[in-house]
Amino acid sequence: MSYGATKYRQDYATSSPVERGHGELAARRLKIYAFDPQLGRRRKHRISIEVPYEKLDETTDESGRVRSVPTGRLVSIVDYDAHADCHYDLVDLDSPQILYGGGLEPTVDDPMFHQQMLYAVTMKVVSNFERALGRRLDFERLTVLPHAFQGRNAFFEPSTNSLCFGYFMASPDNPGENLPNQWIFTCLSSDIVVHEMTHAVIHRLRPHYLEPTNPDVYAFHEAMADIVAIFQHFAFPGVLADAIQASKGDLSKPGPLLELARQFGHSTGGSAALRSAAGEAEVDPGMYERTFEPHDRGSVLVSAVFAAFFATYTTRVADLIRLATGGTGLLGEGHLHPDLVNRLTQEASDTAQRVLDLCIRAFDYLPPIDVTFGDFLRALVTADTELNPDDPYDLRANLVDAFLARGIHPEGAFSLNESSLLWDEPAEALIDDPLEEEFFASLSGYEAQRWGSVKKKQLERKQYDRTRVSSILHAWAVAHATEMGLEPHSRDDCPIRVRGFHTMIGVGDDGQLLTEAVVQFLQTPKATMPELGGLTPRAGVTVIFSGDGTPRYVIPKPLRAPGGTPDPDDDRMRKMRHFVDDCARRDPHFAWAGEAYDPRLHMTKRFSFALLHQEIEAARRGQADGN
Amino acid sequence: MATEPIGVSMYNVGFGDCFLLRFPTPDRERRVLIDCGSIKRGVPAGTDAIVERLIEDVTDDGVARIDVVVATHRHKDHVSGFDNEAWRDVVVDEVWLPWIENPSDARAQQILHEMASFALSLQAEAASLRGLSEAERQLVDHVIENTMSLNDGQRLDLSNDAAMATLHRGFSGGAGGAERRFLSRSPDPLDSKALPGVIVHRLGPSRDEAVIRDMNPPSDESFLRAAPGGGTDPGALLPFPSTMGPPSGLPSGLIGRLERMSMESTVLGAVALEKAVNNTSLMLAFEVGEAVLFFPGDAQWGAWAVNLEDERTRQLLKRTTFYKVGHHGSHNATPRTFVDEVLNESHPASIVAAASVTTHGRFTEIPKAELLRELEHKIGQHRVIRSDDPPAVGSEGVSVMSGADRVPLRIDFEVPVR
Ligand SMILES: [Zn+2]
Ligand SMILES: [Zn+2]
Repeated sequence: MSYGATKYRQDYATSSPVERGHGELAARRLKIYAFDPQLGRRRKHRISIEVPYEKLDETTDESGRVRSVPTGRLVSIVDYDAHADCHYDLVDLDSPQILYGGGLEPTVDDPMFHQQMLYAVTMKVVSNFERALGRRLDFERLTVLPHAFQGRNAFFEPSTNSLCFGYFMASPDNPGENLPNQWIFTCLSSDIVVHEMTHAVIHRLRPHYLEPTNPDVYAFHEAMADIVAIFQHFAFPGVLADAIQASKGDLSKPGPLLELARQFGHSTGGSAALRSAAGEAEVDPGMYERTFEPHDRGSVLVSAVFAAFFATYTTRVADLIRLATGGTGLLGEGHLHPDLVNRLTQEASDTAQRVLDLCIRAFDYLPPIDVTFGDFLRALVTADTELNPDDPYDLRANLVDAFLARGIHPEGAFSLNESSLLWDEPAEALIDDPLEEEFFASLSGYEAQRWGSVKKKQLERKQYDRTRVSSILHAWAVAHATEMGLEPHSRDDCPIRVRGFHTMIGVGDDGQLLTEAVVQFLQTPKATMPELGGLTPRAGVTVIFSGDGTPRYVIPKPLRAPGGTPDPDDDRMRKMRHFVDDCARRDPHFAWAGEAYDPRLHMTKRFSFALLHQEIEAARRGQADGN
Repeated sequence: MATEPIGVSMYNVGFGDCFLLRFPTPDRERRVLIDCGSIKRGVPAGTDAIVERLIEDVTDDGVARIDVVVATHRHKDHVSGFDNEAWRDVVVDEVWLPWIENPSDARAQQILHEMASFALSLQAEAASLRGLSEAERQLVDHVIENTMSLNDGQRLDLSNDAAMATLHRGFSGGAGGAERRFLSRSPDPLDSKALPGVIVHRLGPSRDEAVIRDMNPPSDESFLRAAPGGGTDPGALLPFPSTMGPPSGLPSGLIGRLERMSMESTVLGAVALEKAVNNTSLMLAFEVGEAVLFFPGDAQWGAWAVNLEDERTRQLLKRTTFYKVGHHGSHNATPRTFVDEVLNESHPASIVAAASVTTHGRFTEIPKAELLRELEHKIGQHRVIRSDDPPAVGSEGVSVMSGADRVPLRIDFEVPVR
């Protein structure tokens, strides 16, 4: 159906038929730069990807013709430039040439291609998350601005629910690998787009991770954004096969595949961290402890996940390499056999997909607030044990090894063997009191109607179901507050709220269907704590309920707050205060703090994605200069 | 070894630093001048008057002589006093500067160049921005002035060039003139003929890549230009043909938010530049007998952290008997761990801290009252001496010399060596 497709390598690892039966479109195939325009000078780095088809908003132009605008269910591309106060016309992704022709050709010169690429890459992130989570994402439509401002920056801006991409002119004296005075567009770097979009999706899954309550929270945001961006490269088989051929199957050799955002160097230390993930440099177990800046600290987590990926991939291909080398395991000089490359590519992309899916699925096992890298390790181990109990390629063991080697030790886990890294089983009293039977019926009733076309009658039913689910959960939490590490519920001083719930359906390796419910509770004491730089101390807990309503895991972040006043000696309170102090002494604004630097905004200002990405840029250049 | 105390004179330059140390040695007194600058217009006595006073203070038999001149970093409030003809006749043996000033070090020159060019962009950026609050404007203006300094309001003096020219090429001296030495952090004491009997420890600036990171200014491209017409090219060079004004479907509030971020990005650029320059500071400790005089310049967290984490320097700093309060008493130029865990920990017989400060514009947190209180708490009442508010005449070991208008001109005190 798509002419022009032969010219472009397609994303076959994740492709689905473009057309379903009866001519209904299942996917849009759109061209993008696999990395960025600079690498995109080579044809193999201009590729097509498929994103699930959705109906776009329509508009009528002056001549009365109806056409689409790139605004779908979750993403709306609006091409406004706030620096010049102007805008650009929007691409019609439903025009026959684009719909059936695979989209506009990659070029820096046409803003409509920029919009197309942004739409394709952001929706690809969405579909990656939806596939791994096994459910649809649902959030307020994001406004995406391809050319929002001038400057070497791009960010997710939560207060306006937007993704803003900057553009700038390459420096005349120091253009790096670009031409002097050449326009550079951050929206054409697929890594940057994936990174920023991932921030937005994480924000949807765990909105309270915008509260920097410990040094890991923003670092986790950054690390996940980078992990999704890097693993995305493994879904471009043409690119992957080349890298495997070039590196003789040893994916740990540095190459474009492992470098994030080459053109923009968006992520500091990213490539250095990856090199150490691959064992080229010694792993430094003190790094985690010492590193403070969120991108740098995040790169420790990125490197842990990648080390586990490399180890697992190596195990998986060991037999192939033995076969191909007559048992010696030593690949000689010269090109690898194309069949071998093919098989290695498959194994690499499969392993990558598995690791990425696991990282995403782990979200269901994360606390609603105050996440740490240790929590993430426990979530990974729990999620994977649930789905793949036998762990054939030691992925789980490799993850645990890699985290521990980097000094990431989960708090509260008694020992470091796998089973004690699982999240704790709930207290007896909780297990003995499952949710009311009506719960799962109401929950699935609600979810079934959420995605269908809702008629009026059903809408009422949906509201009813939702209210029922909430009140069953709320009553249960109130009854068991102390057993979950929460303070007793008090509507005025220390209210417990149901923060979110959804079902989790998965198929295990053994083919068994798992249906569970993931529920997040939040408790926010009334008293404000001025010394926390604007942070709100909270308690929270994520509970996983099995299909019969029995709680299976309780993932708590307790906080002592008798009568709604947080206890200053509470462990988490102490850590929060310590962290706020640590931030203050590093904050270059702080010397000048006067009335203009509102103490309630200190932590929010220090942790604005926009400013974080700006600050890091200086440091990154410093590193580049030093090399 | 001499047993007489070391004399310290703190000149009241307003918002800036100017310290003269006198080390008694058997043959004669050795003098070290650490910084001479001020940023506040209307310094109590005027910078020129201070320089005149200072030169008179080091003149014997008609010859003005300073053994070592130290410039910690090229901020106006530390070097502006050197932009003065009078220095030409002062005999100086050695001039100590941070390695970043070394003209034959390409890396150093590149960083300096980036700082200067970023200051220029910052100035252009700020000039084109409407909507900065009064406090933000003052802060940005301060940073620009401190980095560039406009001479006579006319000639653009990039990064204090006139003052730096004196430091690099001026002064009188022996046959070859004053010797220039570019110092960096090192475990070994500095070997200097100019200061016999004085152990000089170099605590900063480091050449370690991880620390140099904190000396890098942001780049021009890092500004977030989103205020309509803002930025350095109001003619707004655009990549594509466009239609003026916002499109339909733009959520309300987004333009305002982007504009606000553009302001914040400029302010962040300003504080980042200030921090970068501060972190080039020469950090020195002078040790004689029991005395350890610690001058950290304006070093901020990154440069401090290295010294607090290194057991050798940490032990040395525990023996501090004189502390020049960093960056005019601002909060993050004196780490809390230094005050809580290091300062006065070896209980020297006598300890004093001197803060060269004055209130400046809207910067109500400089000096940080809380920090000065904590220092007092740690080292004792009346042991923290403020240049703008010296102790009453007659209090132990401190004497104040006032100018005609009774404004303090120079505060003298002694640091015992045993
Ligand atoms: Zn980020
Ligand atoms: Zn300074």
